[in-house]
Amino acid sequence: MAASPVVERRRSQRRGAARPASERRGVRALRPGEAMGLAPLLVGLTLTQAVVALLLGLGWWGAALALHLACCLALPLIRPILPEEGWSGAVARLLLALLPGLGPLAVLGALAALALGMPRRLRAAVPPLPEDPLDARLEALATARPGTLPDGLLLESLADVLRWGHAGQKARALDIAADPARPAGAALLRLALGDPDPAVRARAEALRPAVEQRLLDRAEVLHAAARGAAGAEGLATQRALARALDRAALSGLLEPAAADAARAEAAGLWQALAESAGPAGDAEAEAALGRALLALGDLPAARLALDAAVMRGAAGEARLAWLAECLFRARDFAALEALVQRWRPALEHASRRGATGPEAGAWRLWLSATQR
Amino acid sequence: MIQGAAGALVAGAWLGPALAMLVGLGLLRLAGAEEGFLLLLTLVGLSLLLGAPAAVLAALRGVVAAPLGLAAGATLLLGFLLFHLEEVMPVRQALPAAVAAAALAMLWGGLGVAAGLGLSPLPGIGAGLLLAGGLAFGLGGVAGALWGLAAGAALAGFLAAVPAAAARIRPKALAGPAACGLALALAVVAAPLVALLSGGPVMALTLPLLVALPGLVLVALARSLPPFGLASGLLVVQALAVALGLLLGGAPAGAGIVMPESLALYQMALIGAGFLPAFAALQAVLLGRPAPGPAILSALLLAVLSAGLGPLLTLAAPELAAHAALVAPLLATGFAFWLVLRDPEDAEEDPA
Repeated sequence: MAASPVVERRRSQRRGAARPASERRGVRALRPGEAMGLAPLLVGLTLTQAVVALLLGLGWWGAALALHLACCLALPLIRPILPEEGWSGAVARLLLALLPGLGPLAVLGALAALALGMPRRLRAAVPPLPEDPLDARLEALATARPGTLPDGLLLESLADVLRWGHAGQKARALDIAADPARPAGAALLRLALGDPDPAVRARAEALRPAVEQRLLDRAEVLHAAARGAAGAEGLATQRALARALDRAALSGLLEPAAADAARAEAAGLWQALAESAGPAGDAEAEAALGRALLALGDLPAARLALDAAVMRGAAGEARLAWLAECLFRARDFAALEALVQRWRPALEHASRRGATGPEAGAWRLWLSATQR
Repeated sequence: MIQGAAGALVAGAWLGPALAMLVGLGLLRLAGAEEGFLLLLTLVGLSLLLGAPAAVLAALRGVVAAPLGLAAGATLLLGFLLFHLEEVMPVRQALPAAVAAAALAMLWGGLGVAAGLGLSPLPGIGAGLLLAGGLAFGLGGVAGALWGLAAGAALAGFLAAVPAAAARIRPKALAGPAACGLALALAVVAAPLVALLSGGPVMALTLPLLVALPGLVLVALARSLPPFGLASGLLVVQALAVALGLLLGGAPAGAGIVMPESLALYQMALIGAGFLPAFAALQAVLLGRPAPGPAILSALLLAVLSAGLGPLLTLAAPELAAHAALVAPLLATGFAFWLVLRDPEDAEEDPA
């Protein structure tokens, strides 16, 4: 089966292959920009320069020069409040650059440009993406609407920037990761907290409280919802709460005590969900319960839950990895070898595919060891 | 880099000032002023010297606001110092002359980036011409004509430059394109400037440039440049125009525009101007290359020859002095031809 465009793009990025020039220079719509941000500035400058023109007309050269110079001296103060993007931003930048040299004529040009608006042919044209692949990736991530980007791709892309980017790129990646509209980005902060660059660590530490609070707030909202819900709706709310607690506990951003408390509460919820599922079982609940118990150090209970989840059908590499870790920590190497033999085809397939998870190396090692 | 702007930039370096002179003369006439040719020549030359580096920079590298602002500010200051302190003009004339030069410097940049983006500057130029005509007619006098020129150029230039500022193209190396622009401006103004400063026959050297305008328009409109094919074609077309000009013979002298004693120089300059479009086509190819060295070199050669060959021949062999107006563009075109020939990729005919 042919790979989807998203998968192809990820592969291409992973290989570091340059995108074709046509794609790099692809067009996207320019935002026309809001003229309202420019209005007060333009009115002020227009009035001042109209007075300058009047003084010139009267032949009061000294007064006109003094007023024009005062206007020019005020320009550095105006610059920070200018709109950055769009047509009005461009008009403002050009106006400020030309005002010292052209005076009232620059204002005249700016008014005409705002009145006529952006040329139709330019509306679809934007500059090429930055030449630095990491800058281009950050640009694409920043402009992608939240929710349109798969969590895994977002994390992988931002992690690449943290791994290979310079300080400025890392700071921008952290800003994107900390955006409340992109909850998956929170996982990146844990990586940034261990960055060798002290500036990146400091930035991540600064962002951490807000992200931590957001995770706890989300759980609190679901707590309130779960209290008043019953029946099928109650189960669905419980599941959402358990997921939120898991996400908070696994984020690595919570204090250890708070993380353990979240994990313990999540384990209770998952157990209740697994028990309420009946004979058909609930693979997600059992796997999550096993992971939580594994993290809490209850290895026998974790093994039971993970065994049940794996044997229920769709094992998944992650669940196999948690079970393998459980067996390894319990020093039950015979069971671990049996697990590898049982799932050898799936694990070999993943290895051939070039899986790059944290457990990929361990799987390769176990596969070669059990072959011998 | 913005593609396709090189031909418009190089040809525009001659076309823009020539058209600005014509518009300025028209505005002076509309305002009822009798004199002003030399004033216009000076302010247009000044605007080109300071505006062309900014224009090439803006068109090739996409940086717009800062270079245009710098060019306009510097032109205003220099222009005012030149016209008020050096030429002892009253403030009411020196100020609009300096502002007009600054607005023209900005206009060259605006037209350059508009060519680079493939946008038509004609609506802005039309609006500018209307405004200029209205102001010149309303205010009257030399000052009125100059305020009209300044306002029209500022309006047209601003409207042409804003789209490039909105596109926010990432700047790269800046020194090369700026040097190219300065060399190009020097090549354009060298001969009239030397004639103006030495009290020589300015009209005999500037009037023949009109012969080159059709060829330069062709170069400006060419979006891809097959250098040798285009240059050869232009030489043929220009040869016809020059022959027509020579047939007219002493008509300019008869009309009193050119002094009878400068007629030989005028005729040589007429033949020499025939090479300018071919030179511009080759120069555009050089300007489109990543390395700016050859483009700077060929433009500087034309500037040096145009400025120095005449006085040198006057000292060495006065009877051959008029030939400088022919030899300078001829040698510069040959040199540019050789520079283009050195790169086989550029020298090939355009496959399209």
